[in-house]
Amino acid sequence: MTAPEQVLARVFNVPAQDLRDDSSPDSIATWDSLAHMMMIVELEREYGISVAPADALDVKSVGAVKQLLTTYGVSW
Amino acid sequence: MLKSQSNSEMVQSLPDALQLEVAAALDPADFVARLAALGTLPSASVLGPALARLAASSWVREDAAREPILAFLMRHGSMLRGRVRTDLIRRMSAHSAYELLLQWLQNSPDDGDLLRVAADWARELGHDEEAHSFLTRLALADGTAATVQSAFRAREALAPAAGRDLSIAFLASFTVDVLAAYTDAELRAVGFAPRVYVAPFNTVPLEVRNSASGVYASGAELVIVAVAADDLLPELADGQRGNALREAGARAVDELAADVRMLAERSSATVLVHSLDSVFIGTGPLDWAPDGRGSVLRELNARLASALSAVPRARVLDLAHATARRGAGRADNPKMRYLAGMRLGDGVLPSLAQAYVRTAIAAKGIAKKCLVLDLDNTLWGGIVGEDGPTGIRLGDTAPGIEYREFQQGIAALSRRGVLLALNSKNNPDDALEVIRNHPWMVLRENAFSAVRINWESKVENLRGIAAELNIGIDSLVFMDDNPVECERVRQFLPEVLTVQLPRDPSLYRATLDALPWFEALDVTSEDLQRVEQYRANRSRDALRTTTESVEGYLQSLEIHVELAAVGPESLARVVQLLNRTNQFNLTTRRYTQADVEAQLANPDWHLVTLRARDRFGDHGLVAFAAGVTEDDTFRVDSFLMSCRVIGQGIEAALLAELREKAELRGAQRMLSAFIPTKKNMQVREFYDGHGFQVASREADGSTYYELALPAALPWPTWITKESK
Repeated sequence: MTAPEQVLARVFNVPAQDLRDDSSPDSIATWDSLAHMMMIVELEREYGISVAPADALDVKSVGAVKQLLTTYGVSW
Repeated sequence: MLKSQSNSEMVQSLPDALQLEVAAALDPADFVARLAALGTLPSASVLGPALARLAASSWVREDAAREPILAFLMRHGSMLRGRVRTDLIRRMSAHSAYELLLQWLQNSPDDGDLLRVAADWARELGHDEEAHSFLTRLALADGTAATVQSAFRAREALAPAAGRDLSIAFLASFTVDVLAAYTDAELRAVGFAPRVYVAPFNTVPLEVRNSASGVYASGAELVIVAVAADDLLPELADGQRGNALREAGARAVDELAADVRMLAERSSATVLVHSLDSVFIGTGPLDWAPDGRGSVLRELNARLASALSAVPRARVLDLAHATARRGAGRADNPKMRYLAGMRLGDGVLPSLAQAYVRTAIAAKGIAKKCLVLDLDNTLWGGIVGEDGPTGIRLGDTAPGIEYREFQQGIAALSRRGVLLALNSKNNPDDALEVIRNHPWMVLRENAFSAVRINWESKVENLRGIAAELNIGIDSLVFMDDNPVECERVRQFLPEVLTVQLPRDPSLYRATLDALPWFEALDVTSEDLQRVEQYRANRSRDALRTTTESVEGYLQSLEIHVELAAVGPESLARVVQLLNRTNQFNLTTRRYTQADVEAQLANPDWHLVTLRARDRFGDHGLVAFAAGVTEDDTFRVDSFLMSCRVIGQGIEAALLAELREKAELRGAQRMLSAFIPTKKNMQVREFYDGHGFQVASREADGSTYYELALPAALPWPTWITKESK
């Protein structure tokens, strides 16, 4: 299974190794609200899940994204 | 020396594959020497792990080490696969590996990872034209929305590309940024170098009327007017049909056509107008009966086409047609047409078959009569008994809107004669508080013909509901999010059609609409009598058609604002606005709920919320400001507004309110600030435009302002202030 960092690297157009668990919209310039939605679309496609809006809006860091995926039963 | 020797000895004692791997990690020259000594190249399974080590090691950045490995990669790079190759090349500098990258791209021209790196490096090396070309190839090869969007954005850092100039503008009632990015890529693929302007969403009438607006300033040669039927006519989501829908629709269509005419007259642009299509119109016979939503929408599209036929350079794009054609093999598969005489592509066959099922159910008269619903996590998000009536998710923005739209779908069923009932484990008082008083609840108490809010078994409750309504137990549909409850009902009442809602509430409405069990061939007057009189949630005047000035238009919106302190019911929304608003946010200070609670407890802080509504509906709480009294000054700490009400002058009303607060406190001056972020540049001159003087400007662009009090900050004349 593809690591979440690889998916996010594609969405935000940054090298995967630059992404740490505390990377967030504050540290990644391309992580704006539209890119945030693209991220959700890509995560749903990649892992075959459907993310509830309440959850989708909550994830504001790479670590939070990984936490979210875990609660949806995704492992990588 | 000693250490290196022991390394070398250790390496020699390992099997070949491991030796290579260790060498790749520790010493590139040794790695290349070992490969040369092998004579033939080892298999990919041996080389792969070694190359992964290589990609992860730090020496790839060092010049001296790079030459032999580059030469090796030039010859054998094709051995590397996917991410290993991309990671490796990402770690080298653009200068040393650009040629290598180009060579690889010749062999894998559609490799998205390589194209991404190539675009970055071309930009770094100043080859902007090449960077544009890589971005176009990337967008077309990858095709996902995320990539197309990020490629589009990456062009902002580049000089404009060569190519045929085209200025294109989007005026839309919904978010079209990604559509604009796809359009940009497709235009570039055929040789255009487009300039793309996307107007803030839902500002079509403002853009058209303001001669200084973006659409005119952009000099657009092609304007796409994408107004969604569901934005123009909220009645569609509610299941409104017949003359009520026809009349509201005719007014809306005439207003839209008038806007397009104004745009065509004031510019030389060609205007392409989306036809009206609704996501809520199904494939059952009821939506296509003479008074059904589909039929009425078709009339409205004919009306739009006819109104626009008199407008030069305006054309209609049939949205249903355009989207049905997307992708080969959906609506038409030519090979099967030639070979098998199939005039319909296999891609659309399942949905056609599902449409036939709906008509079959209607024709046989076997539709279900009553929809029985759970409450918690079904009609709203959360559990009212735990989260409280203000803590549940239900509203007009996400999260919350998905439940509201689900309720609207249920209301639509009720409007065509389906009975509704409740079956919920709850304290009746908790649940009824929400049903009666929650501002976003669609289904009030009188929408339900039978109510069971208790701690009894849901199976017994279902039996009771069927008996009370005097209908067969097999004419009930039961919807619940809880798998245990659903399983129990399936087991003890198999006659009831039990639908377990999906985990993601965004799919609730689609789950409801996918049920074929509520179809009829027509709505009878009997059905209608059963249904409560629909309260029109707004009255649409024909004002917009006749008002040509921005002020006149704003006046015609009948904007009302209500200014209030932060209370328990608005606290969550305020915290959400503080943390989510990017564009219209002067200081972008993010505060937690605890921070805001502390500010509320401090008498020097003044927190003001603004709710807005206009004749088209209630926008809810859309703006917020916070000020602090410090001696004789009043400092504006936060000032922000949701982007969905930009352009209506609402911000001026909020600022005027703050000024009044400051003067009441006896402040001699107001201090304020603009702190730039990547996303708030549109408000950088906000205070300049409202009479503030620049006090200081810092290197990062932060600007501090001052306003001597008392001062005149005029209240916008088109906005009515309401008291609670």
